[in-house]
Amino acid sequence: MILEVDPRSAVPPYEQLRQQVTALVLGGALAPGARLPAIRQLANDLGLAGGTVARAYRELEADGVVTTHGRHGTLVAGPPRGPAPRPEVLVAARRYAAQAAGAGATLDDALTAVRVAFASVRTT
Amino acid sequence: MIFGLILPLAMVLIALSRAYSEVDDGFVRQWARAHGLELTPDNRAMVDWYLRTARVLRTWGVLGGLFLPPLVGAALGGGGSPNPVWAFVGYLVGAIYAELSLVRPVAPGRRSASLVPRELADYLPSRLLRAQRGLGALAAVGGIAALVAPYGERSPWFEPPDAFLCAALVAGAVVMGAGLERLQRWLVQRPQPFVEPSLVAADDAIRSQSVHSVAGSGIAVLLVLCGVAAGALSLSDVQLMRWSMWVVAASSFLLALYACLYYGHRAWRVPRQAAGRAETAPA
Repeated sequence: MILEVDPRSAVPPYEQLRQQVTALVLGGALAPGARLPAIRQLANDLGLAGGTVARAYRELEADGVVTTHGRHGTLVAGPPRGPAPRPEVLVAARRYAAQAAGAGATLDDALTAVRVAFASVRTT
Repeated sequence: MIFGLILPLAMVLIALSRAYSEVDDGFVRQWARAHGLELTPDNRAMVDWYLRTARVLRTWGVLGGLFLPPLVGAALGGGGSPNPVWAFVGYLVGAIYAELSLVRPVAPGRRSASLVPRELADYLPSRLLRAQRGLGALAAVGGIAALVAPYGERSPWFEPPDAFLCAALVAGAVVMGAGLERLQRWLVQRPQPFVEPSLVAADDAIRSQSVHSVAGSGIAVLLVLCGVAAGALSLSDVQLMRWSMWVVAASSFLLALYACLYYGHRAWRVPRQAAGRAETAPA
């Protein structure tokens, strides 16, 4: 299971991490109780500052996605506490993401396309 | 005199020619099998490079540790003979340098990382971690005991252990005992930007080998320090220690050699847990 960070993206790196971990939890790839890497490991591997990863973990903890257990590390708690997308929306999004990734689109490209598509659906 | 020069020189040349020789294909396959690594065209070059570089650097480390201190001593007008502790320290430095020399390229632009946590306990058995801590404490206590033990005048040429050397032994034991584990944790946490499973597996095997080399040579250094402390205590006035500590000292040196050769080259399979697998949450 891989996390990716695009330093050229307009989305800050901590937010990219937060979104990806949340997506993995919502998609069931990260089960409750799964342990996440230490902040230092993730920061080293991604070439980010420790504070950036720490902020992502803090935001995830505030969302209720992870819990911190001191030296036992950071564990997945479950889906975010806020309203989560319905299962059929997640399935449709996964199908679209696979097609967009297959066509070579980045996450930003794919999100822009979704916004454009949403806007056109609402105006018709 | 000539024999005294030719023999070390021949040993150096043999060791270096062996270190610089090509890594045998059978050895690489055996090493990979022992580490649970499947060799692929993607990871083979990295494994070959590491095994050869590690051998060369560890050999230079041992030779430097054996011959540099006496040469420096002679250059400064003193004397000295090869000391095994510096050979083990040299091996340790060579093992660290080999690990640091392995470049793990970070691709420009988009960066990736595996979500699998890397813990020192996955790369080194817990009994070796306990051995490092225990031997560090034992060597420090032994050094303090050697410092405070009674040494009576037995003959005009009897010299008790030097207090400065005993203090240096205690300091060395504390630094090694506390520093080894920190060093190993640092090696495990070094960047690992690979996402290709075969490269991740090769990186795990190499990292595990490096950590084991550090543990083996570190334990050897600590055992030598224990042996030195025991040797000093064998000179004390305490009758019980005279013979028993000689046995401890001799055993420590032999065990040090065994620890460096056995644990330093020991194969260890890194248990790769599947990312996302649930663990039992701590209470």
